[in-house]
Amino acid sequence: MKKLIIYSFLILSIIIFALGGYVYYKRHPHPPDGNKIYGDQLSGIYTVLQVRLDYEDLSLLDNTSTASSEKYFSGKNSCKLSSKAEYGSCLSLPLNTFDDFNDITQVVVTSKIYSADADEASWVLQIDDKNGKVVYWTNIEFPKTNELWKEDKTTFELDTIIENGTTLKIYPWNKSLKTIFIDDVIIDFQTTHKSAINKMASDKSRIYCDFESPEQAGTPNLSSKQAHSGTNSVLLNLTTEYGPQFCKTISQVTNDTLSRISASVWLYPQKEKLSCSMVLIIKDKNGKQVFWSEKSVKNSTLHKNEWNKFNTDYSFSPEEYRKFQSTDNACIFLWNRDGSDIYADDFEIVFGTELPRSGTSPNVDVQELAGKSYSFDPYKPPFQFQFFENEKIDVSPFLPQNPDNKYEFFPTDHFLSANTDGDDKNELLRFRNDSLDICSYDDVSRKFQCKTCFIPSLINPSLCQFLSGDINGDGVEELIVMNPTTSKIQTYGFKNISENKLKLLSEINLPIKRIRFISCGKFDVTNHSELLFFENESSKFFIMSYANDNWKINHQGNYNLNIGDAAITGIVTGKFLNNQTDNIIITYTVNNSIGLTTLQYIEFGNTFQSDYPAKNILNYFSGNSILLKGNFDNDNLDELILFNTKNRFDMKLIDKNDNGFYINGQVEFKGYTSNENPKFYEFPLAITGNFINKNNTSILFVLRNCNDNSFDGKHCNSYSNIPYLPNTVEFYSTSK
Amino acid sequence: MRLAKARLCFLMCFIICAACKHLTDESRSTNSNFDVKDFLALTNFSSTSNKALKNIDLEYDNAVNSGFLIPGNNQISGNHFICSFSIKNNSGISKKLLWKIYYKNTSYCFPETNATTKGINEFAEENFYGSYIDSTILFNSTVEIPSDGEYHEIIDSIRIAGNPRNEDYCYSNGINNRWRRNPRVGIYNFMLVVTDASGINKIPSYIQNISLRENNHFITPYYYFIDGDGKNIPNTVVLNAKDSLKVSARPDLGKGIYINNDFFNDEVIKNNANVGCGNDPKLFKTSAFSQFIHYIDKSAKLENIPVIDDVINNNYSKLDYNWNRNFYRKEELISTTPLTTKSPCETVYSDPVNRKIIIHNPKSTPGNWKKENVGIITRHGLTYGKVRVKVKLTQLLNMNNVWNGITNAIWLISQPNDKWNYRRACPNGGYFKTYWGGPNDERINRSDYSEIDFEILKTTSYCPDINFPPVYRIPVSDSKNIEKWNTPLPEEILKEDGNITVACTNWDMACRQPENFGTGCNSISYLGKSFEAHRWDENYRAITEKRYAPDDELFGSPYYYFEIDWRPTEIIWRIGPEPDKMYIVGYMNEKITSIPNNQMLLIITQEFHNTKWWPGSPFQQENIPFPLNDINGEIYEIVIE
Repeated sequence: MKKLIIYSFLILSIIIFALGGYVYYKRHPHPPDGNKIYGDQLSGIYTVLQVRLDYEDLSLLDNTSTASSEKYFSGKNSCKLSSKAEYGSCLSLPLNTFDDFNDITQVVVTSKIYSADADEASWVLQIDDKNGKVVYWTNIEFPKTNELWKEDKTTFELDTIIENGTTLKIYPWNKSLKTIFIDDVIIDFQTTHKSAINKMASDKSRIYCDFESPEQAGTPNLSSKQAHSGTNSVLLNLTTEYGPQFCKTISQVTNDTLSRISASVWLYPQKEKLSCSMVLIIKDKNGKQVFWSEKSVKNSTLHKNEWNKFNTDYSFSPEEYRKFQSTDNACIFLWNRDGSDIYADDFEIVFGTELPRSGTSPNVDVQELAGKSYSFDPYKPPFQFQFFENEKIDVSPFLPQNPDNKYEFFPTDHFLSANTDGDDKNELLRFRNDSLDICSYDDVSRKFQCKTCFIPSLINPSLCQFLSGDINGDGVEELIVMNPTTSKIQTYGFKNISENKLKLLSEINLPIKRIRFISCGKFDVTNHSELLFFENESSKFFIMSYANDNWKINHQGNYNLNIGDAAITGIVTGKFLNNQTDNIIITYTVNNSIGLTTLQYIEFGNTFQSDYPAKNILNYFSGNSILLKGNFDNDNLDELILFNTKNRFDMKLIDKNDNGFYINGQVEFKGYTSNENPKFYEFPLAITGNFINKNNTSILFVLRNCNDNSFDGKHCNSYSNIPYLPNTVEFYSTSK
Repeated sequence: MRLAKARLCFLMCFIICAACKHLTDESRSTNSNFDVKDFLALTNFSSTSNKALKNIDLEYDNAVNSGFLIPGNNQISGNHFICSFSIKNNSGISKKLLWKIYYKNTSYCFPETNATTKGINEFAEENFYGSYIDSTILFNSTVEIPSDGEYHEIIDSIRIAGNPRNEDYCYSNGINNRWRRNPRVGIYNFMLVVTDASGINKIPSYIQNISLRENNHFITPYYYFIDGDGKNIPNTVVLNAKDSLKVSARPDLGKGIYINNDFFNDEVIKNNANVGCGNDPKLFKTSAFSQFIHYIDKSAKLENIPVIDDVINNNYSKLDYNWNRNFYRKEELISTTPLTTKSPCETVYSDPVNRKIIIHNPKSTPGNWKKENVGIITRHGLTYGKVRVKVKLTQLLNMNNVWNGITNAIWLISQPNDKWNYRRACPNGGYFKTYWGGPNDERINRSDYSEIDFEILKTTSYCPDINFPPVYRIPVSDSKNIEKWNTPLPEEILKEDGNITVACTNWDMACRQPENFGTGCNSISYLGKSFEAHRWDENYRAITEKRYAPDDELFGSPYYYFEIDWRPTEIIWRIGPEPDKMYIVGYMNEKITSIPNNQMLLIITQEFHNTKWWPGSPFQQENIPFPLNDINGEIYEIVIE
């Protein structure tokens, strides 16, 4: 009897042990790694742009003469350096090619090098300014090895501020004139900036899987018997306990701590009480489990034989997430412990939480104001809002939705505002390849009336600069077209148009070879407009007047902008100062901010005088803002609008007082239809002019959304038609 | 007609019986020595209702000093109810008899008798019962009543007042602050005890004088005479009055708003006072309301977008919300917390003509950004009651179903004034001392903090472990790709797009005494409906139930009713378009949460919450504009019964 008890105890112990093992296993499932359908690696360094050079396609390279088929690692060609070739093919990359060049912190060049003795050969990284002047140069020597087709990895740490308009060059320098072959070069432009990584990583923070794409076709147990969306789902049953794993390395989704993962899935069960869970496992880089959590559907109200959404949420406490490493891998999968058939579809998993805003910290703390009203600082945010009201005029001829839309506007069009009929209001001019649409606003019908005129010998408006001015003082402006490719200036008149063809008044060759900028305005005390040229690489200016069907230089001299080597980013002419003549505002980049200075022509000294007070530097702007001018506030002077779309729609009204330029306000909009606020659009174009009221300037917006995958904000191949934000054209002013 | 009245009388009697056990034994109106009949407690009071149950409203004038008196000084001549009954002496000799009248609130009381032990219920001493205001008056004596076979009418009077047991905790500086234990609303029963010289000696002193304790506890005369030792005393008659009294509170919303000096100094009040708002002595006596000044938690800090807009009326869209959420840089934000007014009377108005109170969250102007909370609070504490308000508070969602950031709140809070207002002890580890803080904070046996809330805002009604929050996509601030920054809300949120969440909360300070005290989500049923009660963890001081409801109905209609039915062992939250069309949105009882038993005030507010308090919310407070216009709310009626 005693033996029986002992045996029974032993057998029972074995059973309990076995069950215990089973239970343990059940509590900590280890699904096969084979069903991972998402999973890639990323460290705390993020590649913004990668360029591959295999010397088969030479389109990205300068100095292609070093391409050789003598040896190669892949394909049929490599780059050969020799006693006759000191420099290899060069990758020249204008840095406005990609948006995030400011964030680049390092460039990594990986290559295959074939050389018995490379000696002092090196990779060179060089930055040229927009004038071709070398502003940065560094080199790192090739590895000292006689191994053939040795892989080399060279990392350039960028310790310089990269400014817009510069060109980054990477090329091999064969200083000792040895024979070296280089192939399969990969150049990674990388950033370690936390905000930049977060911004890019957040794009990758979401997984959505509906089992419909070709890449998901190999998912085990794919079924077309049920589907919440499309035609496929995945079936979990007695034999297939685990669903597909969705994995992300933590560094892929955040450069901070991973504090949360939320996930949802649609389930189609065969019964209501289910033993089924969403499981999260986080493993370190060696595969050791560091976190495990299971969220059961048992308490959810699921209906059998229909699709039910199941949400889960894993929020990690600081104690938990501090243990995670950036190299840890987080995987989520569905675990069907029930054995009954469950179809699962449309997994959505979001790793991480909302990204922090960019910027430093608020400048205003209401508590510190102690109940007093805040005095706005015109030089730092927050800025006052200046509201522009929608004019609510009929713009149907300009809209894509209009079947009779022969005047449909695009943000890539070239526009100009000009007084073509002497009524003191501006007409809207839109240039096409060989023609011009002239649209006049009619007060009675509150519509624009347009006509199309042909412009003889106008080729490709995108290459031309268009100006308007009353060059003969008759109260009607003329059109001046400067074509740098033909080095000609054409002048057209709007008066006496016959057969819808603009009259060419004159055509001259450019009197100056290297023009820094050109503008049109009333710079001297005559009653007609002049053309003003500033020469490049000198401080010379020329003022040309039109008389007797011809242009002639009648003033020339020197100017001094007092801006040192700063790059000019734009000019605009208008009445910015309280005097009879027009003035110029020049913008330039200084320490990632924008500088402004006013130039006024002093006829007595035959010079342009610049002001340069310290307050003319406006922070919080990047240099590449578009300049728009107009009299927006019904006073006697023009104001300036700085319009920037690099990171967001950002429009600021700039005014000037005795202390210099200041930000009068952030431009906001009222009165638009439904959601159609200009700042929401992906591709906004703004043009200013006194189109509607001769004393008050309006802003015309051509507003579109772009369907291109890599829309750069400048060119769009395919426009998208978003129902809640239709492409449109709008006019705004402050007159209401 | 008589039959109808009899039926009504029976019905009322049934109601009283159902509410709380009390004397129903008419046979005890007689014994071998004398008969007693026709006990009426309210002979000098007529109301619009039936004879058996008479309605009276609490009189607020000067109640802030004296506590509520029933009847009030202006309600009945002589300020007392005149009671009468008739005695017939059957003893064969003339004799004096002794009597005493007791009263008890039967609507909000614990049963006197423990159903299991048949002894006294330990909570019965919390019941509101009393007798003559002067507790030294024991039993009254009749004149010699001849044994003549005739009934002789006896006249008495009684008045219901606060602190009927004259308890010490209500005293300060020698003054009996009866307002610290105000009479409860609801139905009052009156009980007559008649005895003779032989009986009186058997009635213990703590029954004759209810201010006395037995073994440190009060023994209710209702228990004593009905189920206790008193039921066997010879020559004693115990009789219920044929009439009873229903007491309601209807504070007059047009009688001004009193500003007390707790938050503002005299000069500030003087500079802002107007006819119906201020701190003059008349308002002190007559006004039922004060302006409520929120306590602002530092954790409510917001770094708010610098936008000022009228979300409700200006067609503010989800695109607006998403753009502002994504594209403002930190330097442009306004760091603030929700604010409270610096100018008393400016954002609250008592309308004496229409007898309503109008509150508004003031508008912001550029440079004067504010998300300012506003509200009113009653000045007279009560324990228990069905607190029903008729209001039109601000609509919370606009036509695009974007939230304006306001939480409309109708809530009860413990009347503050130090230790006199303790709730009953929590024996199983105690209460957390503060309603804020963490798990390691001090726990105390008795707490003076209690709070019961309606909080109505745009959030999710999820209950973790049963219904997880939806999966929100993380937007990317890429202005050149609208789909990246204008991320859609999850479909389960969009399904409730026009709905707001009615959150019903009881702050039990994490007292673990209830037998089903739980964490996470737990179901509780009431009248066939199931409610999911959620407590974040065992140290969380509150338990909440949430329901979706249409914003258009609750705050888009001309008015709507909200009711907190606070009973000794349960709390029921109801809402509805009319008092007779209300439906239950929340239910809790003493098995899952500690129900407060201290004196509380009613608060009605429109407030800006930090949405970190409401995980899963589709809109975050800091991404919602400052108000361009005043955000108005109107309070039309408050009834507590």
